This record gives sequence, structure tokens and C-alpha cells, in this order.
Amino acid sequence: MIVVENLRKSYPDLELDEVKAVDGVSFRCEPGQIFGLLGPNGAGKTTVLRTLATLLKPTSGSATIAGFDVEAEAEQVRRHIGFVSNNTSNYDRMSAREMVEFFGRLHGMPEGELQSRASLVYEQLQMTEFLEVAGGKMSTGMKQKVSIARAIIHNPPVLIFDEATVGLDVLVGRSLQNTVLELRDQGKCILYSTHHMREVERVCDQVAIMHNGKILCEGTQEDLREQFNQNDLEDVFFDLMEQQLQPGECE
Amino acid sequence: MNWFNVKRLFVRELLSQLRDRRTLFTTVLLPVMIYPVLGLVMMQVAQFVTESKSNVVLVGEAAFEGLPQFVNPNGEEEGLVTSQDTLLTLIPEEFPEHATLEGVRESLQQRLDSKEFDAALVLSPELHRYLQFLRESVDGTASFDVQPEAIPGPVIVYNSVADKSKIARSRIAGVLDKWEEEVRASLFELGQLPLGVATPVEVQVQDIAPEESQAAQFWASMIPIMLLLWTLTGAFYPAVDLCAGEKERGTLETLLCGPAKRVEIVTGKLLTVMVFSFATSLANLVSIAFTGVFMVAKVMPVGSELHSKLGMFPGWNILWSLVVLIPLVAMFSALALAAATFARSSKEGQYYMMPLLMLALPLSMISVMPNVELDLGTSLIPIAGSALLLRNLVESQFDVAIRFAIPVMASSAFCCYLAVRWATFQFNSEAVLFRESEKWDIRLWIRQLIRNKPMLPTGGMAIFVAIAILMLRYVANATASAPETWQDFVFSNSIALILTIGVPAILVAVLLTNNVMGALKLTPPPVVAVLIAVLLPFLLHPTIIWLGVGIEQLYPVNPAMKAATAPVEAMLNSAPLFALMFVIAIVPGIFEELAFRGVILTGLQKDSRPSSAIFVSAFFFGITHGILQQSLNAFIIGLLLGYIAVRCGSLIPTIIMHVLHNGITVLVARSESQEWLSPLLTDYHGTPMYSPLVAVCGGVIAIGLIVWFHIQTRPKLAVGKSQHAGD
Repeated sequence: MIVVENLRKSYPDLELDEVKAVDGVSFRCEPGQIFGLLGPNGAGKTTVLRTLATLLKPTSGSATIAGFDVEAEAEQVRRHIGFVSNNTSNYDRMSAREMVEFFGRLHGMPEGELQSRASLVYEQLQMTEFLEVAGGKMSTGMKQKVSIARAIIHNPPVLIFDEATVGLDVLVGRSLQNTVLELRDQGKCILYSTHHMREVERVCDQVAIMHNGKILCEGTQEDLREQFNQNDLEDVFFDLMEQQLQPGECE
Repeated sequence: MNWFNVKRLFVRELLSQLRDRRTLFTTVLLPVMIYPVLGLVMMQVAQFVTESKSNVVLVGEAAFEGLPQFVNPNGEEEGLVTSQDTLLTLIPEEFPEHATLEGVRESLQQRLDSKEFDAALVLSPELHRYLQFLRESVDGTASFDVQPEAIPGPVIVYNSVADKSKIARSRIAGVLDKWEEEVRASLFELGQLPLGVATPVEVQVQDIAPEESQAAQFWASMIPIMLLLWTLTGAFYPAVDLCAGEKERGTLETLLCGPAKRVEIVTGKLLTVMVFSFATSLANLVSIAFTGVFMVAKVMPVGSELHSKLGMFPGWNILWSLVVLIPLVAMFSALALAAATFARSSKEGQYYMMPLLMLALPLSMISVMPNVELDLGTSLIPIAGSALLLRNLVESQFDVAIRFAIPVMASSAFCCYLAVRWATFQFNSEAVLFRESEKWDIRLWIRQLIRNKPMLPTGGMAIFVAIAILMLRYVANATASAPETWQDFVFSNSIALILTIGVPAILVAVLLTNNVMGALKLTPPPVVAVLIAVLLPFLLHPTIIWLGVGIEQLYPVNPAMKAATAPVEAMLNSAPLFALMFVIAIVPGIFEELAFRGVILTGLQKDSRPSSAIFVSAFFFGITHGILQQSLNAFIIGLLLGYIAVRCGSLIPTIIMHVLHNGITVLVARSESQEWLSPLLTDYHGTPMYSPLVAVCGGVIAIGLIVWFHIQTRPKLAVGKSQHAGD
């Protein structure tokens, strides 16, 4: 469903001449699976996800989502994804209902279908209490729910969550993770980036650890623990950081 | 483009702006409130000015017995300054004995400087003696033989720089007029003449301008400027909120990862900004109308000085101006949108308002300049043409307005198109949309420039060279002295051109690129391009000369400038041909090409489409020529040269064309060559010109050749075209 092959993205930089934000990243994510991108700040996770969301153009390499190429068929790609990140805020001067329905209409949903789908989503995310509250007056938890509702209103097969729990309290974070798990159970293909080990442990089926624009290691949680002979994913991560392994050394 | 999406985006943005109090305040409330508030403030200030008192020293009045008195010393009867004149206080002083008028004037000047009083009126003993003598001449006891220049008069001493002193002067001058009238009346009475003899005829002036145009003068000059400025302001604030504000709040990324295309998003935002810009001008117009109709009429009675100055409000005519505003609103909105997209935050967005205002203000000021009228030339100048058209509409000069409405609209529409393209470009640029706050260090920057030289110049280098050339030309022109001999002209012009145009381009190519020959496009050209380069200058010369004539008719050369260049032209006629060829054809032909079609065009080609690169390089080539008429001509030639250079990827053909074109111009200007050219020439207002038939034929063949050349060549892509949209 998501196929990324040798993706690279670099920027010119005064000090280093060129910053390789993403340096040859490849992975696959299937429907009904949560693929976790784990890495410290500045690892290149956001750049990968922004490229998949067609916000950035790759310098080289390719990526397809639901069979559409992110560069050549950007519009189709955007129709088939829902993107939630801590950079995608809601409009302050729009209510929750207006926000969600605006994006539904942009996706070209017929009015009847939009209304029935919206009711379902509001119910699922427990949003009915604050549908008429303006974005600027919402609590962080409410805002996050609206973001998810906005991303799933058109029922896309692929969902991308980029550091979506940053700044959320434990309760709201937990509820978001539960929503993600529910969406996985509905058969969505989910790409989930975070720098919290515990989150990965709880939600991700497949994990890739990123550092300096490269994927250092990839596999199921059990695979990684086994391979590094550690009980904890956090220990696996620190082992990797210390060894600064090259991708080739990791099966 | 999906227009349903555009409509959805437009409605959303509009609602969002309508829910924003700050935007509503700046775009609707402020323009409505400003005139009534300004009017009230100005009236208060005006009252303050008229109510300040003036102290005027009156020197030497006591000696004038038997003449009308300024202030009656006995207080029984009033003098010329009555008790009603509470704002004018006269301080009488005697004319010092044995003092000269000059000495008195100097001492008064010193006292005036130390602000002892506001103005002084001096009636000298000479004036007294003269008036006495005048009386004796009138009653026949003396004969009148005074030369007019020897007549002494009353002297007013004041300081024109100090407003208070100026007011005092106007007040005492009014009293002096009455004094003079009484002196005259007493002399006429003495000579038993009727007073009417003093003004035997009275000049009558008749103004044929329609009453409504006369009355609208003030409004006609004010309304266009105010409307234009508010159109820009009304566009700017929503644009900043919709672009930079959205970036800041993180909602732009939400929108960009949604299904709408970039062009739909830009169009939706542009329409919203346009609505606000238009609403602001409309609100502003309503406010002007309200102030004009009600306040001026109510507060300033008909016949008062201020009323006659402001005149009658032009009424419904100004509604027409809203039609003119539409393309202008679109242009300003697109410009504001592009600038606001570039900004990272609302605060940064506000910084870009000033450069836009600096661009719009001088152009809109053209509408208040005397002697500038709406004609084909001025109508094509962006913003200025619209301002003049607005002025004509307010003045009810509909015949002129209708005649030039289409050129004004066309020019605005073209600028609007460019602005929209710029805005769309900004919206498609990753570097602009996701610009982080980067740390800029000049040392790192220079190090990188030198260490990582690109093969060919970048767009940034191209713009740098162009601006450096403009600045150097400006300094060179400002410091140059007029040449005295033709040798002087040839030497100084060649050196100046090489230093100001050739050197910056060559330096950038050598120091900042790795492929000097490629950067300067000094590569072998295809044979077909050389052939074209040799033929085109001959074929196109008549057309280009006629083009110059056309441009001069649109924008006539200032006679003062013509007079200033005449001696140099006369001097050059005596210069030998080889020297002229060197300075006018060879040096510019080589060095201007190295700069404009070399480094500048090559650099621009790297980061933008060939058509945009040609347009921008021709624009810089044009404005380097300094004088508007030459600039326009050079711009058009620059387009052709740029096209040839881009198509064949070499500078050699354009150097040949440039040298040949300038060389032919030098040759044709020489009187001796006009003999053998005579079959091609005709008489045009007393000077020989190519006959129009020759120009048309040459032009047609040239177009045919260019089409053939177009088919024969393919555009050469610049090597190392940028990988990143944003670098």
C-alpha cells in the first residue's frame, strides 16, 4: 500500500553545503498494519512523511501510495491519504463541524454521503459535545480529535501520523493511540512516526529506526529485540545509537 | 482547475476573514472612519492657526500726520486697525533719528530673529517726504518729476520660514491695503478727480471649464491616490493573514496536504484578498463621499475660503472609478499574496508592505502632477495610468476617459497576470512554503560561494550582476562631466561602459563559476545562427528606427534633455567614423552582450523558464539605458537578442547582431551615407527617414527568417539545471 524505494531528499546548506535530510530510505507498509518510524528529532522522519504527503518533492528515489506515484500523481495520492502531524493545525475561526465538512467537500464527497460519514466519525471519535466550538477555543484533546476527523472524513485507505502525540497529555495521547489501533483494525494502512519508544511498543506492528536520514534497522518488535538481544525497544535504540551501525549490518 | 474547489476555498477564506476582528478593522472600519476623524482634526488645527495673535511693530507712524492713522492715538475715533481686529496688535515705535532705512531694517531683522515680535512695518521719513511732495504736486505747488524706481514704499519685515510671522505679514498687509486706498482717495479728492480714474479698466476672466469639473479639482487629485493606497492596504492585511498567518498557525500545511491543487488554493485566496481590497476601496469611497457631501457642506459655508478650495463633491461620477479599480485590485491582491506567501510569519509579512507602498505611491502621485495628462503614453504606465483615468472620471471628462480606458485596463491586466504568476510560483516553491528560520552568516556564505562554485551562474548571481550594473551606471552618470572633445567622449564612454557593465559580469563569471566560457555563453554557435545574426540587423534596422519614432510619439523627449544632448551630437559629427564605431558599436556590442545575454541570461535560465529569463534580462537591459524612450527600445531589442541567445546557446550571434545594429545606426546618421541610402529614404518632418514600405518589408522578411530559425534550432537547456525547486 505504501512502497518507498531509495528515497532521498537534500537541501542546500551554508555550513555543510548540502544537508541530506533523507538518505536512501526504503520500506513497505501493508493494509491492516501500523508501520512505526522511530527516531530522535532531526532523524528525517518528518521529511519522509512530508514527501509521502506530496508536500515535498523527492530529490531522487520513488514512493507510491495506493499505487499512485507521489511525484507524478500527487493529487491522487492526496485523495488516498489522511495526514495528521503536529504541523497540521485546525482553523481557529472555524467550528469542528465546519472544519471537518469543509475538507469532506474538498474531497468531492456528495452531501448525503458526507453527512452520514461525518456522523459516524463524530460518534467514533466522541466529538458530538464540541461540534460547534471554534478551533481557537478548543482544548488540545479536542483539537487532536478534529485533526483526525479531518484526516479520515473521506475514508482514505492510508493514514500518516507524524509525531501526532507531541504536546498531548497522557490521557489524550492514550486515546489517540486507541483510535489509531481501531483504524488499523478497520484495515487501514498506517504510517506512524514518533520518538517515544513506549508508543511504538504499544501500537506498531513493524518498526524502522531512523537516524541521520537513514533507516538503521527494520523489523517487527520481536525481531529487533531478538536481534539485539535486548528485552526493551529503548535498549535496542540506544544500542543502535552507540554502535552507529550501517543499514547493511542489520538484517 | 476544479472551480467547485476554488469556490469552497474562497467561501472558507472569506468567512474566516469576516470572523477576524483585526482584518475587519483595517479593511473596513479604518477606511470609513479616517476621513471624518481627519476632517475634525484638521478643523481643530485650522482654528488653532487662525486664532493665534500677531504682534507687529509699526515704525515711524507718528511722523505721518495728515494721513490715515493705523491706530488712533486719542481713542475717540478708530484708526485702520479697529477694536474688532483683536488678533492684530500694533506696537508703535518712532523712526530713530539720523538712522537710515537700511540700518532700521537690520536692527528689526535681529529683533525678529529673537522672536521679539512677529513682523514689522516701517514707514520711513523718505516715504513721508514723498507723500508730502505728492500732495504738493497734486495741488499744483510743485511739479512731479520723480522716477518710478525712486519711489519709497512702506517696508514689511517678516520671516517666510516661520508660519506665525507669515500670518502676521498677511494681516498687516491687509491693513496696509486699506491705508493705501485711503491715501489714494485723499490725493484724488485734493486733485478733484473721480476715484474711478484709479482703475480705468477692469480685467474680466472667464473660465470655460464645466462647473462640475472646476469644483471637483481638489477631489480629482485626492481620490485616485487615496483609493489606490487603500486598495493596496485592503489587499495586504488579508493576504498576510491568509498566507504568512496560516503558515504561522500551521493550517497551511493542513490545506496543502488536502485534495485541492495549489493553483486552486492560490485562486481561492486571491479572490478573497480581491474582495477585501475592493471592499476597502468601496468603504473608503463611501467615507470620502460622506465627508465630501455632508461635512464640507455643513461645516464650511458656501463662499468661505476653505469651501472654495475644496469645491463641490463630484457626486455619482466617482462610482465609475470602481470599474477602473477591478484590474488594479486584482494586481495589488496578487502582489500582496506573493509577498505574503514569501513571509514566514505575519510579522515578517508586515515588513513587505513598505516596499510595495514605495512602488505604488510614486506611481499614483503622477495623477496630481501638473501637466501630466491621460494619453496613450501615460495610460500604459501601470498604476499611474489607472490613477489618471480615475482622475478623469472624477473630473467628468468622460470623453478622454473612454478613449484611454482600454490601454489602461490592458496594461493593468498584463501586470495583474505577471503578479498572479509570481504568486503561483511562490506557492509552488518548497523553499518558500517550508522556509525555516535559517542562520545567515556572511563568512559561511562567501566560503560556500568560492568553495562550491557552480558550473554556470545562478539566478541569484544574475540578479546581483544586474543590480550592480544599475548602481555602477547610476554612479558613473552622476559623476561624469560633459565631454569637451570627441576624443574625450570616446575614451570616457568606452572606459565607463567596460567598467560598469563588462567588468561586473566577467568578474562574476571568473570568480564564482567553474565554466567561464559557458557562463558567458562564449561557445561556438550553429551556422544558421550566424547567418541570422548577419541578416537580421540590416532587415530590422528600418523597423527598429520606426519603433523608436513611435515610442517618441508616445513619450515625447523632454525638450530640455534634447537641448542638453545637442552639443554632444554636434561634436560627434566631427569625430572620425572608426572612433564612433568603436565607442557606439563595438564596445557596447561586446560588453553589453557579455553581461545581459551572458551572465545575466544564463543565470536566470538556470532557475526559471526561458521566456521568463528572456523577459527579465531584457527588462534589465532596458532600464540600464537610463532614458525612458531608449529603455523601451532597448527592452524590445533585448527580447529579440535574448531569444536568439537562448535558442542557439551562444553569445557570438548576439554580439554580431548588436555590433551590426549599432554600427548601421552610426552609419545612417552620417550625412554622407544618406546619399547612397536615398532610394530607401523619405522625408519625415524635415529629416530623412526610412520609407514606411522599407520598414514593413524588412520587418516581414525578418519575421520569416526568425520563424525559419525557430524551426531550425531547439532551445538549449542550461547545464546543471537546479535539482531543488528552492535553491
